[in-house]
Amino acid sequence: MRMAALIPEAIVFVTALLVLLLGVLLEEKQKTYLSFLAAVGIVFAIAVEILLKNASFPLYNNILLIDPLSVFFKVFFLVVALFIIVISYQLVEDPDYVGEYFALILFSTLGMMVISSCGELITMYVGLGLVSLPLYALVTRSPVIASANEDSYKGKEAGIKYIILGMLSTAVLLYGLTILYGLTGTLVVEEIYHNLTGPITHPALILSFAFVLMGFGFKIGMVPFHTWVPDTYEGAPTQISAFLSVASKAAGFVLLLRIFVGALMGSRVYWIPMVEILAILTMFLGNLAALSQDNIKRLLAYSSIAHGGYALVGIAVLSEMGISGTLFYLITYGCASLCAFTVVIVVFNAIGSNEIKDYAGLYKKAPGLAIALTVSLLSLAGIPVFAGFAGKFYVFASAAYGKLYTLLVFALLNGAISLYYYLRVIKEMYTSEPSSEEAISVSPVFKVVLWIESIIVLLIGVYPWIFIRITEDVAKSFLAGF
Amino acid sequence: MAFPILSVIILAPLAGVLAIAVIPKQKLLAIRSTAATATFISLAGSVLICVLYDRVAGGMQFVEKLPWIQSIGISYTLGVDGISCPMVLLTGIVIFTGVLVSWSINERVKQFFINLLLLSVGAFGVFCSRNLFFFFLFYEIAVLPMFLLISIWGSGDKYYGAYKLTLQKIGGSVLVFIGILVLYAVSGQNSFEIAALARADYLISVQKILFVVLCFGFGVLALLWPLHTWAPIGHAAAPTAASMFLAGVSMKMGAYGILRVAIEILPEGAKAMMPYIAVLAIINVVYGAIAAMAQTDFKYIVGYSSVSHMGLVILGLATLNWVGISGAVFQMFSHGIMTAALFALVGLVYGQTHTRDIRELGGLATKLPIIAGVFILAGLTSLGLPGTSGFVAEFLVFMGAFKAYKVITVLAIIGSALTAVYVLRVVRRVFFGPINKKWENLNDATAFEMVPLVILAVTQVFFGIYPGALISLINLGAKAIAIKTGGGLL
Repeated sequence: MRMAALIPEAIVFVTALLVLLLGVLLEEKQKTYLSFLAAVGIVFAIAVEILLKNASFPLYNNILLIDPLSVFFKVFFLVVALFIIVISYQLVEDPDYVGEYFALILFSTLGMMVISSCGELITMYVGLGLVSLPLYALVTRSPVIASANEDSYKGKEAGIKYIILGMLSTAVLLYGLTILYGLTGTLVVEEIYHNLTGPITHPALILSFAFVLMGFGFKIGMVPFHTWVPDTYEGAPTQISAFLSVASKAAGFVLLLRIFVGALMGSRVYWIPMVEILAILTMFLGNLAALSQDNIKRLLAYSSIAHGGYALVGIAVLSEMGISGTLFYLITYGCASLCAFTVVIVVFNAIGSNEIKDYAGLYKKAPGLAIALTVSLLSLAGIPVFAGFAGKFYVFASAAYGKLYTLLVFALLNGAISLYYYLRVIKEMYTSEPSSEEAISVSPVFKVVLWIESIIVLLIGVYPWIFIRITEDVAKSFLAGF
Repeated sequence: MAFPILSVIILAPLAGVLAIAVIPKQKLLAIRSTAATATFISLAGSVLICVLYDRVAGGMQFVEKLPWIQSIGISYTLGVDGISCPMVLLTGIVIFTGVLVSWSINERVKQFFINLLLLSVGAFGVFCSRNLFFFFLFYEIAVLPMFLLISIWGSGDKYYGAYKLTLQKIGGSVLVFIGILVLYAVSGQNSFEIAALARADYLISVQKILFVVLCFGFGVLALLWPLHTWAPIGHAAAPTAASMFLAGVSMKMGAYGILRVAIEILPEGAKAMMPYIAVLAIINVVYGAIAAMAQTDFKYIVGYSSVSHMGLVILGLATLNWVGISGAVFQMFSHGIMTAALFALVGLVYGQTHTRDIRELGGLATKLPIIAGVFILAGLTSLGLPGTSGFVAEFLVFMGAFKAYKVITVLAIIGSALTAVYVLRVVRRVFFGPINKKWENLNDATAFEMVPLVILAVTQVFFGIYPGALISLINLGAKAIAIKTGGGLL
């Protein structure tokens, strides 16, 4: 009966096929129900996944692992996908593309669910392919009918850049994995871990560390593998940018935990300094580059790079509190980031611009939108009482407890730098005069989504224990395996 | 469980914010009176805790405790001792009078009061928190409201002032944040409770480093030289109520942080490093006074006088003895009330004249006798005239300081004598002498505007004549800290 643990994956898979099929068969008018169908499928998958929360066992000779970590990340990915599907409900204008769009999101989510569970390198690689290939299509293909649409050019550029760099990083990753296999003679992560307990002397092993880290660093947007992030986020449909910035980034972190930490825990003294330095560089690059951005999507892209750096702090600490900190930080970052991107979508639909200067006087035109964006930006900046503050406090406390004082100081310094560019947007919204007095109307669906997102951001900020309790259990069970 | 009076004090303004948020923005009177009611509840609560505080028992009272993040020792712990009580009272008075002073604001009224009330939530929270997580949370909560208050309702170079204040404050907060997290890490208590951290043993080298980090972190708000530069510019740009709050309460949050976190948790570090801080404090006193003498903008003068007076607060804290700390806390209270009064008056004058240049003003006493009267009273408090609360405060600070640092104290007394020069200069330039024809049509404070002025004026005189009402409270808290630092009675 253990195979029942794969029911959520099965649900997502069947829903994806169904959506794809109905996308071809249905009349044009009925296709609006496809997003609804996709959402229902995901809700069912979440429900089953939550029933599994206490499960902990391997499947198929350690190829798949069902444990609290996998359940945590699967629920995370499913919830994010649910939000993305809901905010995409009126995005796709091209009737031929409706079915494909939602099916691609579901397939990518399925891939993320697979890598959350993977305990073996080939499965991980296949899962990663399942994550990435639909994303390449989603980034490149404009969901809007292409008549006189200037952005379609940027979309193509974004897509090409993403595909080429993505392929490259995957190749490098594969190379690293090959070396790892050659040195240990096994593909199962747990066995690699047991084979690698002694001191590290082999240069090839260090090379494989670096290659694997590179491959996953690409997903996270870690410096120096971040260059695709701003262009891709800017050119992709905003819904997909949000998906990349939250779900795809978290996928990078689950890979880091499952494969990198899972296999190389025994030699952590060698790679922790590397992760530390990369985390610091990632924060600095993200924040400093964000200072001079005039496009809100690019600003959020650079800020998302920086947030990847903060979340890496917990991996560098690698204690129970550190891992828990990373997981909790991903939650707080995810909520705030989704909320910010949702506002960007609504504003773009109304005024057709992503320039920060066009956010002038947003408070007068649509107070609700301005407040939602303020909440999410303050949360990203780590100002109380929003989620980001709790996330930073917790993950930085873990760094202090782990005696990583250099990392702590640099991370906090970055928090201060980041406030400046978030305040710039807030200042535009509240103090500048709008160019037109025209009010922006927000459709009921977006209203509900924004309310939910803002309230979650506030709720986590006020009472973080609701999630820290969960992430601590997950971290404890994860580290118990070593 | 006892009545959670501290939570009521903290959350009443928050309830006010929520209520104002649902009132339609055209109903100005409803918005204003909601703000006034909410802050009055907090004020009444803070008077109540000062009266009800059991002076025989001492220690932490009105304690509330709720577990929050158990695994790392964070709980919602509130409590007040003899030092927190006057600070809560100060916040109550300043925010209530601030709301009254802002009655005539007509631009974006709803947002204005929401932001103003949020400021007070943070201040009440800081003064009541006994857990560093919540202490820091409340300490940081005011970042956005203050930024918006200055950049929307401010005057002059308001964006520059808003950014400078916010970023400088955040810079200080980074140091405080580092200090708090490292304290947590090295204490080995797995707790953010101030009481637990104060019990832990720290190496003397750790104490010294952390003390300096925390002192400079809080020093930004406490105007410790050379971190004070946001104050004059920020004050000049801020609207009246925000200036009152900044000078009256925010600066005290910094000084309170030094006392509550740095000195109370790290007494050995304080003993080692405080002589150096005292040198900075003396620069504060003298530099602030000299800079105030050279200014022509009304608000800059009051701003630099704050630099000078906060120097006395820090000097009082630096003595680490009972009398000095009592004096510092009393000076925090006295300066908070006095400077709030000054900013309220400057606001009233500016509202009519639209200039703050003291060279253009003159002879206003004939037209504005009440405003002039209250201003002169506040000025006298500022220069420490006997009979006002300023005298008691300065007397105690110098008494304590003379025991600890003889030379520095003499310099400080000279520096604070300079206060008389710039205060009397302003009074003469603005209120006496020949009146400029432009100002023939000015109106004195209306009956309604007099309410906050009277509250502030009466407070200064009452605690000047009968300081015992507060000193009896402050002594209890100061004594407990002086015992830890080994500073002794005097």
